[in-house]
Amino acid sequence: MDLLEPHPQGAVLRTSIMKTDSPIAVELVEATKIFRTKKTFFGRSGEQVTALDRVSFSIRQGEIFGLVGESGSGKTTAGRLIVKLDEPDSGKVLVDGVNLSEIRGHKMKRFRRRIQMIFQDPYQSLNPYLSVYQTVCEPVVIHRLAAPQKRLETVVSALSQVGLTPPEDYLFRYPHQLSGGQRQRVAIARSTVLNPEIIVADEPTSMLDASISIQIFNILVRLKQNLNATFLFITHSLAAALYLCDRIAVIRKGKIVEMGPAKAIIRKPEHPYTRELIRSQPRFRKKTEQRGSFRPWENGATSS
Amino acid sequence: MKTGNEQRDTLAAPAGRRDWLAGGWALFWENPIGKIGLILMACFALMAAASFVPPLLDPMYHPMHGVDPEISHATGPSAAHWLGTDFIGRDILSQLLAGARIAFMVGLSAAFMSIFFGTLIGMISGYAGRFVDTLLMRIADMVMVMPTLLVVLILSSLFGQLRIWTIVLLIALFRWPGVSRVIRAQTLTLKHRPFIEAARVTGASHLRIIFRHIFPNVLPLALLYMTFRVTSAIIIEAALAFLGFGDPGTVSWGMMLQWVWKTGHMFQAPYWLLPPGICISLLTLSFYMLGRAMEEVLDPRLRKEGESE
Repeated sequence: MDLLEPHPQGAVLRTSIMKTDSPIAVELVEATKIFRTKKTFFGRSGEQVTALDRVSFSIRQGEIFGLVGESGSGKTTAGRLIVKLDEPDSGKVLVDGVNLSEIRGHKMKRFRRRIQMIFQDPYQSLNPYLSVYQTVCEPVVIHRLAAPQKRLETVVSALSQVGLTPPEDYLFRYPHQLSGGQRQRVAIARSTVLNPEIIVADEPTSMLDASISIQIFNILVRLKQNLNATFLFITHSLAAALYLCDRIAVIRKGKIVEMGPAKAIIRKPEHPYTRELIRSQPRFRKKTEQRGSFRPWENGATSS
Repeated sequence: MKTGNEQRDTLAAPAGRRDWLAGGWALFWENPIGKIGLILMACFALMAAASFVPPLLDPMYHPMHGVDPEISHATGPSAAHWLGTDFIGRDILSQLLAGARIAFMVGLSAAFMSIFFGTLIGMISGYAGRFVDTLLMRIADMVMVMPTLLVVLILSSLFGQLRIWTIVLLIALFRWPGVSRVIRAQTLTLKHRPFIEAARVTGASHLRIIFRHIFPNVLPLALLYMTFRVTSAIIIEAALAFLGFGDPGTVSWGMMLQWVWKTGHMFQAPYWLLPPGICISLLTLSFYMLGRAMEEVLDPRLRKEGESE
């Protein structure tokens, strides 16, 4: 059963009974991020874009939390705050109860090892001048995870975990010799070779074919089980969110409009924006039914 | 959907960047400018290598001290001296060969040093941004507006004759700003690329990001600028030597021209005047052509349309 709870911003918040016992891994507290364009020469202040507007959510350990929204809704910004690629203008990002903006230097480096990110575009997120081995090995070298003799072993096992088999074939290839799906697997191997506790996946399949996407999803699910990691899965596709996530939050113009268990939200959306999102999903079966009478290929067959 | 085996078959390309390099090489060789430039440069490299031979044959072929005992004035080409001799009977051909060696030495080392400083400063400036960027780029502006030749001339008249390596160092010190500006611009575009951010997320230090991730991406551009810097370094050294501020202990093409001019043979001895002049022009031209052809290989926008088909 879902319980309705008042949310400070008037969003529809539903808490589920499942997984309330595991501790909170990541928490955003009233996080706000404003992007400003530079001031012009005549002192006119630049334009402001509020990417995140006092957003709060928490992800429990071992959970796949989905952040769903259209492009420009601020979902990627939320992910970037968690891996500290950006700092919030106000509010806090807590990881295991520790405020990220208070960690610096060596402590931050140790933190980096625990939080990793998978980027959206595998054509951009791999250095074209580094081989697969160099790319996947780099985190191992940075964090001195394995003795130099054992690095190869570590990289090979990371590659086979993401389905690049046999790994030896891929070690000395460069990104331009790989397909999109293979690149994204390499990028996933790079972020999972550290055995992170928290993984932010920023639309990892938006640049890939549908069939490859399913493969990547399955890899993520398997990795989640192997690593027992917490996932923040950022996506624009409700179908993907339903397939993967335990809980989702729907975000729009920097504000969370609805949050709760994935199935409950998609079956019974409360917020009009969520309903609109669900309506805008292409539906395969309905379309063919609507077309029903219009079958040009059959007409062609009869006329010939 | 492909299985692993099928994928391996379709992507059975051999490992490494060798095919990428081969593609670039093919494109370079296709370009007549690149081909001519490279052949010209190879000729001069052969000359530089051959410069060690004449002094071994006979001490009178030593470009600096070797004097033909039977000749005491400038003479035209002959069997013993293919390009003639200068005013005290030194062989012009062996001087010309030695000049090629000096030109390569000066050009390549000055270019390498200016590229080294320029790339380093450009990467730091672009990556660090803010205050560091402003400071370094203002220094670059100040150095850039100084006329290299004039400043080196003033320095050499202040401190007397400069050694050849001092000249090389001075050329390098005055020619880095242009390189650093270009490298900085390239670094700025790289800085926000996702693979740099991915490196940051894995915990890479700033130094590691600069040298491991940014450096290989700006290296082709740096090498391109190196070819143009070689050209300017050779010309500056020749100009200095011609004006009488070269290293008196070396035989460079500029020095040869200075001797022609100083001894009043400008219009009397074309066999002496022309070879070093032509050599300077052709060697700088060959490096320039090489650079232009490399530019075409490196910049996909300059590649021919047919390439994508």
